[in-house]
Amino acid sequence: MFYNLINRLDEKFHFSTVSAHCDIPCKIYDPITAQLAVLTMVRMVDLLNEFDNKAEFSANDHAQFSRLVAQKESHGKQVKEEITVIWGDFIKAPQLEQFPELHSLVHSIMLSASSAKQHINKATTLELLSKVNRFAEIFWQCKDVETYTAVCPYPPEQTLVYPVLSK
Amino acid sequence: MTLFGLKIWKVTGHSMFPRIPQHSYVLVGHWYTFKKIKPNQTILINHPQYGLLIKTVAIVDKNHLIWCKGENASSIAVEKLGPVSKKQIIGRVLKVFLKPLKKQL
Repeated sequence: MFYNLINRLDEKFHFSTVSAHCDIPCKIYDPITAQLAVLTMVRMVDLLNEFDNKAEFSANDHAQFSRLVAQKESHGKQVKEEITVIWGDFIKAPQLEQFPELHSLVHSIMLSASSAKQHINKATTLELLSKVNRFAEIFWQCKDVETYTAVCPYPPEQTLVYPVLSK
Repeated sequence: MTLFGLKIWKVTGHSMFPRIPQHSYVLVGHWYTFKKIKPNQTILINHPQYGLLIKTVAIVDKNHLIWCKGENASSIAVEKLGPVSKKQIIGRVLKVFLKPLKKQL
């Protein structure tokens, strides 16, 4: 009764609103964030490898080296987080039945991401990229969206799986 | 519209469900902030990142900072929300006018 009364008053006077904000699953999932994070790791490794040619490290070199390593580390964490969210929130029994490899693939991505964080090794980051690409491919197949592969038009110019989205 | 330090607010969002479902109304006492804030009280806070929020007091730490929580698993984690000071409290919820169950469905 009181609710209806207040509701009518609200329609007339428009009470102020207060938010009970929450992190409700919003159904916005896209593996591209994980793919871009791996690309960043690959790019960081490329830039870090350029230091091999330097005989001496200046203070600026030290600073730049630290920044690149830090970025590689943080993007490695991002890869893990983005994949975990899709795996934990989006992937359900029907997708697991359709793609039984999903659990082992995700676990393998976690291990590869850790390895890519631990080392400055291009082969390791490319292996991670290939696994994340496979994850993206499965994700889009779950949504009945076709995919294609293309080389990204910016450094590190690696192959990515993209969805074919109709206009 | 504030009358004698009391104001009715409309709640949006699901963080306080089931205690306060979305589109319920709450009567808030603005002068109640002078009283002692205790765990489990429902308060309105002006959060620097999330804006105006309705939350439940989780704990009041030894520095008198107030840590707030939602009422379900989808709510922002206490540590993510961070503590607020007493100055950021707008008021205390004195009465909840629940949306009838039929209207919630």
